[in-house]
Amino acid sequence: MRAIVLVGALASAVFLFASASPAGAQAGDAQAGRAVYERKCALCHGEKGDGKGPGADLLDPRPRDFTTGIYKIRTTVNKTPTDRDLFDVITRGMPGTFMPAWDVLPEKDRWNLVAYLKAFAADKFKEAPKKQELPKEVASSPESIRRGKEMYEAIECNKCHGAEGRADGPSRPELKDEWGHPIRPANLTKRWTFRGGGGRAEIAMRLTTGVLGTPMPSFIDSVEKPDDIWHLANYLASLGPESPHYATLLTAEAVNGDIPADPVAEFWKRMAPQNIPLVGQVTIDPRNFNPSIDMVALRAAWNDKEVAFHVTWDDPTQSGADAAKKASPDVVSLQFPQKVAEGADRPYFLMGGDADAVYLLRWENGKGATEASANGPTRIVPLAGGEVTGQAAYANGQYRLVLKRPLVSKGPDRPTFQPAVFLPIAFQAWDGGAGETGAKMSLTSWYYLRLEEPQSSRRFVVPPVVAILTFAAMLLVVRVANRRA
Amino acid sequence: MSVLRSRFVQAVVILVGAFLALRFGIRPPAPWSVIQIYMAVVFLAVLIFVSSDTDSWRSFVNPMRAALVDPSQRPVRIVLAVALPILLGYYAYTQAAARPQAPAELRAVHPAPPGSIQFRGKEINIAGVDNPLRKDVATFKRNVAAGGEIYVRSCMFCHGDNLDGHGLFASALNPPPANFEDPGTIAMLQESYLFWRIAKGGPGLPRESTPWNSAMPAWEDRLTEEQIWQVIAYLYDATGQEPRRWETAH
Repeated sequence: MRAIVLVGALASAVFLFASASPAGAQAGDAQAGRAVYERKCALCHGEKGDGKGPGADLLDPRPRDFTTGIYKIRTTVNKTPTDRDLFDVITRGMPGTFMPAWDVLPEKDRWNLVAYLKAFAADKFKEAPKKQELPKEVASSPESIRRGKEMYEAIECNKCHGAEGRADGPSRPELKDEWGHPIRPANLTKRWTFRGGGGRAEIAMRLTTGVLGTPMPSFIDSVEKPDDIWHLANYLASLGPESPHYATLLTAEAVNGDIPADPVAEFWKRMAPQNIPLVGQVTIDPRNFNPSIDMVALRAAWNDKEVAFHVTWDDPTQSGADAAKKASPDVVSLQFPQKVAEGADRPYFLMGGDADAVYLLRWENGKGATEASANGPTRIVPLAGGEVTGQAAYANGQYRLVLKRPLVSKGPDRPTFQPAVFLPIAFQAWDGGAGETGAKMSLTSWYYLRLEEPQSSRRFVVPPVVAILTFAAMLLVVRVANRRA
Repeated sequence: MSVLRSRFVQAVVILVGAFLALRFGIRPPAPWSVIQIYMAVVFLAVLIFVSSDTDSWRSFVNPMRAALVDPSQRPVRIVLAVALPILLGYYAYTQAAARPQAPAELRAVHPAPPGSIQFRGKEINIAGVDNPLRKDVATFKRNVAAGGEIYVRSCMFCHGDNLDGHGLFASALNPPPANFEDPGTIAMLQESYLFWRIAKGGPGLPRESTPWNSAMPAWEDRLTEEQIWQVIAYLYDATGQEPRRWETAH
């Protein structure tokens, strides 16, 4: 019975849209798409297309329910996406979610999938898509960005996305999607996670069409003039880079004199951030499939006495420990081996193992900086008599923290920081406001940290010496050759 | 074409041509160290070529000697006296100002498997064992489907929906999650090897494979023996790879 309904739906879908395909789009074969769908998509989106595949309940955002015909990313005035919209989502994926880019599939398969997806909600596709035209493009400029910022506040983007775009607006806790699931506003400073792409034109299109099924409406009628869509897009594009440019080797800069303890000091602003991706801890229980903190940015400096780590991370809720409310604090920790071993040996990346402890520099909201040794996420022992100091600032959905420690350790539980050595380092973070505590965290595996030696003046001395010696050698050769001749 | 008949010009043409071919003719690009070795070989070959007889050697050396002593070649001498020190000085600068790179991680990616492992108190043979689920052809498809459900709930986060090692969580992990589409992974391993790797995870690796770095969990804590065989069946089915067979006894 179901098969007959499906075939009927397919037939009508194919009949309706084969003729109305926009330029560049290909008419797909829904039946062929079904075979691809069942192999590649059904595990999350469900065999019936209802978004209830076997993997669905672990994912946030949840997989799309195709039977509703509601699609987030479209370039149309009405609710019907074009075939090209669906094709683009399949091809590019939904950045920042578990929907990957399916550009590994042949193009034909992807067009066939488009046809099959539409058949899940054939009645929703009866209305032909009406292409959304954007206002004439306005190039980015300081004036345009300023105007965009005015609009950002005027049309109350900040209510959800926060004053500086870090998804920390006051409406955040109330946001629900079409199906009643809580939904997080986008962090506008991380364009690489924009579901529909982080380019200016793509942002302008999202502002114009809205994101269907979410609380993000169309703003084309809310702004004063159509041009303002572009001013807004230019402003949003100015909030952060299009790509995070993740660091591979972390370095601490050598400085003469004092290192400021104040995390908002100018000293730290002029240093380039080293971005490090964090992912959910899914090895031991409780597992964290949808981590809140997906990145920390490290700046580090050292002088003859101490080493200082400046850590920046986005957390939409500032939360401290509160036993009465069963609330957990926001925490970040930097992990090092207790001893810098010869060779490649080091403790287990997940906060050490039974036999090999790690050393943690931790900061906890409300408690400040502490040192600890750990033999796993549940066996953390504070170290007494530490000299670590910490100072943090929280503003507009972002923590900035400075942790400082003397270079030389006081005992066997702590490593000594030596210049020009590749020291293993790893990171963990907890967003207490998202219920993260204990093993429920986001983390990295081991990275290398290197305390750079001061850029010696050798690089200015050696080249002239080499040049002069070369010149002298040439004179000598010419001399000898002439004498022989 | 008297210019081309000069041994010196010929030598220069060969050297430049060899360099261009090595630098741009090889895809993917060869590393610098390899190009350096090849260029050294070419240089030696050119020296042997130009010194094959006395005339040839003279024809090779004369232009150089002329550049050094001939009064008419004075402009060439001046250009060389300026250009060479600058070039070498620049090279010295790039060497002195170079920033260190992270040390290479030497790591056995596919270490030798043990003959057998302890799985929840039971001994399971690894050597010579094939996926027991393949024996029953009638239920195999169902087992593959069950493996797919396990995959999407446990493995997909790191290894990705595409089974290409590009899951959403892959970015923070070093070593990166295995890419099952790559012919260098499951296609060259026996199924029981996968059983060992899945059951014991990163912590079960030998020392030469840096067990402390791997984020692969030991799945014996969460999956049953049958479930692990199911997910192995799914990996081969979904990627279209064939498991490596055990060599039959001689």
